[in-house]
Amino acid sequence: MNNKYFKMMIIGMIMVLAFTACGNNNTNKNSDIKLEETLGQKLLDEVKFKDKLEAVDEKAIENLYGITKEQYTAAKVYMSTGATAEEIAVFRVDTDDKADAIEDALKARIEDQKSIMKDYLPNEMTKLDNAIIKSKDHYVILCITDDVKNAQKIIDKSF
Amino acid sequence: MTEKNGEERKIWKGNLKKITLIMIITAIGVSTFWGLTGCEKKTKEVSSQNSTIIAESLDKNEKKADSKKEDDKKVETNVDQVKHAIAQPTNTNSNIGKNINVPPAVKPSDSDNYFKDALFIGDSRMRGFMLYSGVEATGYTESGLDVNTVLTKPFIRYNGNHLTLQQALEISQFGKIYIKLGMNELGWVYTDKFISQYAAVIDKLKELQPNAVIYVEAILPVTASRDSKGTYINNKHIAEYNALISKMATEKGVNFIDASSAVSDENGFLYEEATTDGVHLNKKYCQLWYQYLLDHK
Repeated sequence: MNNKYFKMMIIGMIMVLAFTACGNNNTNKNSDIKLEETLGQKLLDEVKFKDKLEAVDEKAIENLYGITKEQYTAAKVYMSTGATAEEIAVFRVDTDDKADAIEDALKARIEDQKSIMKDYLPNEMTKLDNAIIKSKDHYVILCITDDVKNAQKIIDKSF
Repeated sequence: MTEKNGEERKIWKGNLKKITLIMIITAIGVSTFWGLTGCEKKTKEVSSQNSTIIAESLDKNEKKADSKKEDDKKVETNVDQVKHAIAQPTNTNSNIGKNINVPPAVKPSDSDNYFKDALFIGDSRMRGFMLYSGVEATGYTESGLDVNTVLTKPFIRYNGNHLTLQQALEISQFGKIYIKLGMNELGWVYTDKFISQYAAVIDKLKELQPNAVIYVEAILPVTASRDSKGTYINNKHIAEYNALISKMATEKGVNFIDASSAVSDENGFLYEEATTDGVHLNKKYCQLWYQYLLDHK
């Protein structure tokens, strides 16, 4: 009898393992791929920008967004020469709170840019009004461009 | 009866074995099913993303190779154009859209940390300088800044707040200050108003930063194509402003520094390859500008 129950238990365990072994786990599947590098580069290569965007360092990130390096795990930010409001930013974080804080900082950035550009480069206002901000799977993304649909498509496909 | 029970037990044991075997096979089958669909899907997604990355990388390398071929072509064209320019008189507007005899890229190095205690103040061009030149210094810059707003507009981030330049200079002391304004004022009707306000800004810098060596930078030129548009943003107008700025700097006892020669061609035009709009310098030219400052410490 004990032997029988033991066998049933083993079978039960095998079945439980079988049904849970390949469970769907989509959380942070992109974290292995360093999306800040791949998506940042893809946006730079495939989205139409009028200006030449260049990568900037963490000091510039802090100056421009008020985001310190402690607030993110990794980031890739590309800025324009000043001729346009075009911009790309991809941040990787490890908590939802950090993602929220970065999203707030990027929104504040857009508002700051609007207050500057409305007098300085009014033609750039449309870009700022259509700025893309997306937060998903512990990534926060900003893209400011006239090529909005294309940029949105590329960002959405990355998740 | 006992024999019958014994046989029944044997049959039951045999059935139990069969049932056990069937369940194990079922479990293995289910496991294999999930293995082929669930994990494979994940593997497919990862490998397709990896393929995408590899493909993009190959594409990028191809694009780089193509771009290099184009650069090589441009160099060949530039050599031909230089020969042509030497053979014939130079027309100031014949350089529109061309990159003639462009300077090589530089990698500026502030090996003795000369600029560590420096402050750079200015408009969008100075903002680009701070972003791309590689200088390790403090920058208080903003697009659209002019001599009227530079002291009073709260644009400097500090501990979660925004300060005016005046407030920021009351907090930190600097050894050198480089200030560059005037581009956004080229359209002003009265140049004397521009210069008197710029002079007032310099006075305030001297008051708040008595130990700082002050450098007033010249407005850098624009490209031939931008110059030819016929607006107030043209190099003749820039030269007029720079003459006034230079005179003001001398009167105020501060330095005047003009990095134009580092970024412009033999006709005084900013190189076409330096910008996308004829005005704002890209990384290479910000670094040339920085190199000029390093060479003229």
